[in-house]
Amino acid sequence: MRRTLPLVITMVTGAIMVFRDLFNIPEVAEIVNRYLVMSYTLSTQTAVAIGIMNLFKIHFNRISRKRSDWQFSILLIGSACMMLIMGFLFDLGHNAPVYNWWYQILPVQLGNATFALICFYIASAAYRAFRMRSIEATCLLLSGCLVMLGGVSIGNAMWSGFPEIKVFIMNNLNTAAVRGVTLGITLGSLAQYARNLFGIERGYMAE
Amino acid sequence: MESIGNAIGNVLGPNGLRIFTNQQLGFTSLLFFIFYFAALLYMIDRGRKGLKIPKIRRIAGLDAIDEAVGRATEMGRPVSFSPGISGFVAGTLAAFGIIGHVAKLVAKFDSRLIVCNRMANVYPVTQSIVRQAYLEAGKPDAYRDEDVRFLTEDQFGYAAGVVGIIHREGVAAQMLIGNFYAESLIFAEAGNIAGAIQVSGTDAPAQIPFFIAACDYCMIGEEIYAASAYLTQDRVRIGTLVVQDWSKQIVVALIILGTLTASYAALVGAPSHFVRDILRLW
Amino acid sequence: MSVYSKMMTVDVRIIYIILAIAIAFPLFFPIGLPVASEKPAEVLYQVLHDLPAGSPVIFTADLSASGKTELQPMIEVLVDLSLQQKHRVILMALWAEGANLITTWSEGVIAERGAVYGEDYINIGYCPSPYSWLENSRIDIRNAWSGVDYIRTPLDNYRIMDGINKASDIAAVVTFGTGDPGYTHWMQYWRAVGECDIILAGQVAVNTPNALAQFNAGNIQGLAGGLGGAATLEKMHNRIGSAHGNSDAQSFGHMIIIIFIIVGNIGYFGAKKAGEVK
Repeated sequence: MRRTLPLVITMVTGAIMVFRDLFNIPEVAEIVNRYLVMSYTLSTQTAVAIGIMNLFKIHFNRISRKRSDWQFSILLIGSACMMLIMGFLFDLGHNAPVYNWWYQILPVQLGNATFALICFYIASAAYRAFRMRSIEATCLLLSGCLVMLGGVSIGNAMWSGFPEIKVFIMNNLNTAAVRGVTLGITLGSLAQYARNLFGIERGYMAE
Repeated sequence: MESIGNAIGNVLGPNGLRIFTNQQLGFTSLLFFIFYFAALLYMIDRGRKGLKIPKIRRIAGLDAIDEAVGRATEMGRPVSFSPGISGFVAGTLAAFGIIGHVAKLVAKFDSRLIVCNRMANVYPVTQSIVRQAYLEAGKPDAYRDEDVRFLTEDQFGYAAGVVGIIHREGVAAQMLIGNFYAESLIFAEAGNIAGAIQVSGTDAPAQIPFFIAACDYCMIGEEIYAASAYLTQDRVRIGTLVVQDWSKQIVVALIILGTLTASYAALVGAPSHFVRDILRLW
Repeated sequence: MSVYSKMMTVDVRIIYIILAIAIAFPLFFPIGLPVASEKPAEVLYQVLHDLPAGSPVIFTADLSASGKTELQPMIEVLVDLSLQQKHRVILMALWAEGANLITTWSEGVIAERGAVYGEDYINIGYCPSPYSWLENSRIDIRNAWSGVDYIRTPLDNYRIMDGINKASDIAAVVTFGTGDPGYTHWMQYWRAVGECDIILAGQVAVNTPNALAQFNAGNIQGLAGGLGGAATLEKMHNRIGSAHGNSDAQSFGHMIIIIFIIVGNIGYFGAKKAGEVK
């Protein structure tokens, strides 16, 4: 039962969704959307609650055992609780101006700062990886540099041909490569989903 | 009788089969869909009967997993695993197959595995996979609940969390397998700075260059879908990979034929060409 | 260690410091280099511009705050354009973060245009399960989640929603994205099944190569990628703003990266010639 039931649920719901997408029957689509798709929403949000409980459990543990940097755990729990309480307290929930203000000054700015790290990491990764060790590496290096120059105003100021070269590389070479990889990924993901649907692969069941 | 006929006509007619509305690719999509699943069932059957199935070529990234876990064990430092930042998509499903294998190795070698999850609905699954792996390795007591973590659903909050774990825990091996977005380079570079051996694989084409530049091993695109078949050498799973290859061959043949006929049509000034006409068959 | 070996192994902290200075410099001392226009962004602007007055257009923030630098200028320009063209502007988000951000980033231009909530624009907020919203909205867009807008007023109360009942009533979707779910889902759930023919995408630079392949295939009808795309939109709308201002910083950053790549390669070849590297 423990192994069969999840398989049966996967197969049946998968078959229903495939049927719903293949045949344009509005009544069927409405029933599927109202019950099956909404149930996915409910299960996802239940999972969020479980995840938050796990997070709190780990950090309460760290605080109670005074593990290294336990003060940051207080900060995490405190800020999470503060945002949660504000969301419940105010009429408009997460759209309330106060909530929005806190959101703008903390998570938004922190997210921006973390994203900005990518700039520095690209520099160090490119410096380390872009070496002309072989013909392929040289092609990678040259195309990377040309696209970098063509995409910015300084490249355009140096020579008006750089943006055109960039457009050529992006429209022809890049598009061809992306399409090839995307094709393989799409067909591969079809097989992956089919394996899960038919119960051949049961990774999600911890088997 | 007439009403049944009407009903069937409604379903199979121009507004019936949804696939017909898809930019006029219509019947061809349906035929491809039927072929794909028929071929899948055929190869699954062959695999179950023990008939001949082609072998998979070597995938360096998957071979490197054992090496990475071994290295981490020697250094006495943990292994970190990130199953991507998306929910139950193909990349994450592929990552589930690999997490189990890694967790078994880690349990066998008495090392430590830290799994960081971004999606809350993926977290219980990875938790049960790792717990089950420790159980199967005969070391249920070695499993630590706090080593499989849900961090946050915020993309860069998750990135910051993983980087923090890499540096604080001093991971010696990092595996980044699944569907990633912009934070992929943050993980990879942080792992580099920490001196970890990195095995990566993603089905997000935009992130593949970052992993190739920053990681020791990188599996590109559908190589991660081959993971469970490769690691288990299960004939049925390998058979499904064969169907993948067949469908790719058909598509490539159509591309070549379409390019030639389209070029010819352009040359002679024809309004259309027969490959496109066939593909748009009603 | 020879000079060449040192050139090959420059400490990353030195790279980071030089990069930080190079990027910060034009932010304090703007240079104003001209930005080359990008064709896909021009197409996006034109497609949106040419939609008739009264067309319902969804602007969806499928993004996190990390996209602020590149996507906020795009949102400002395109929402302003839509209001100017008298489209019915519907703001929403498929990401939880995006719900607050689309409100904050568009309120400036909305106030400038004097747009009236419920008549000229509306914000229908965020659905916790974006995939189910995309599916359900094909049949009933008003009740795809909770039937209310972001301030919890029923959508039926608003004049702007007259005649908008399902996905096929929407003229165009303009999606601003940093990841998944994003433009690919709008393509799959709406465009591929014939619900909405016009999907326009504003993407961060990292997603642009992928999105460009979809644009070239005709699966999306316009694409503004990264700061270059944002600057193109600003230029077309005569609203020079932060995208232009940040382009100089981006230029300097790229030049430093290229210089270090050249330094690394000179070091590599020199060291190889000296037998220090195989």
